[in-house]
Amino acid sequence: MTKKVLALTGFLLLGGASWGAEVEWVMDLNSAMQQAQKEHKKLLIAFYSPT
Amino acid sequence: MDKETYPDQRVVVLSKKLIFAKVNGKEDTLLAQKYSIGGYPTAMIANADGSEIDRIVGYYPADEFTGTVKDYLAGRNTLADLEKQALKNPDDLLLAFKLGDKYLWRGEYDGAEAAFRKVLENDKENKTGKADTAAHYLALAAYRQKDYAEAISRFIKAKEIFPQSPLSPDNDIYVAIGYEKSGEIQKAIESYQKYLDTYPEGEDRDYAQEHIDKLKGQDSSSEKK
Repeated sequence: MTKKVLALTGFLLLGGASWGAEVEWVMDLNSAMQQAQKEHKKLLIAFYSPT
Repeated sequence: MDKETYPDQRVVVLSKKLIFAKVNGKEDTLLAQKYSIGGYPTAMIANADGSEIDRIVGYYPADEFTGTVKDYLAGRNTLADLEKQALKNPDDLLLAFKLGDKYLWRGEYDGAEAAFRKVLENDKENKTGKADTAAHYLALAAYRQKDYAEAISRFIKAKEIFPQSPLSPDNDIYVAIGYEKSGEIQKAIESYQKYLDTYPEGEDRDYAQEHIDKLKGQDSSSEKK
């Protein structure tokens, strides 16, 4: 019983916590580049057309 | 992409390892021009200084999208990787096609044309299954450089060489568009009509009909003047 409760709690904390999470977009490329340099990350630049 | 791919949890997980930036290419035309963005959506993987690693052009479902991004991050199937492979395997026509494809969408037309010509010259029977696309892309390279006369001639040739290709309707519609862009209205109308007659159920039939109507309107108003 305890194991089941722990497993459920673990599921909710790990899986449930990320459920519905979204990509955090940076809407300005210069800011994105600064952030990438600071965090030593690479960039994904999504070019889109609103139409 | 905004409806299905980017909200997918696999992409959300991937986004924690990168900085995801969005650029409206129609508004920020300088950036779109700088990176030779020729179609939307385009997702580019870049270093922190903005230098391109590689790009994904067009719609990709989430699994394919995450797989491709992971490949690029690991240095697999990037332009640099393919260029290295091509040095070791100069006779590999599939590799040449892949390279041409990369160059084309980056706006590096000399490299694209050389690669597609290599495929065409060495695979006249389309054993790779890519020669028809190489012929179409060779024409597209001229079109994207706004050399419409050359593009028209190449699209016609692509259709002649590979009449059974699934790209034949695309070759035909681009001939019409090329004439329209060159201001050759009568030839454009005839070519759009030819498209409609040949492919009455073609996916560009509405586009062809709209442009016939538009061009006929322009033609008659210029005659009145």
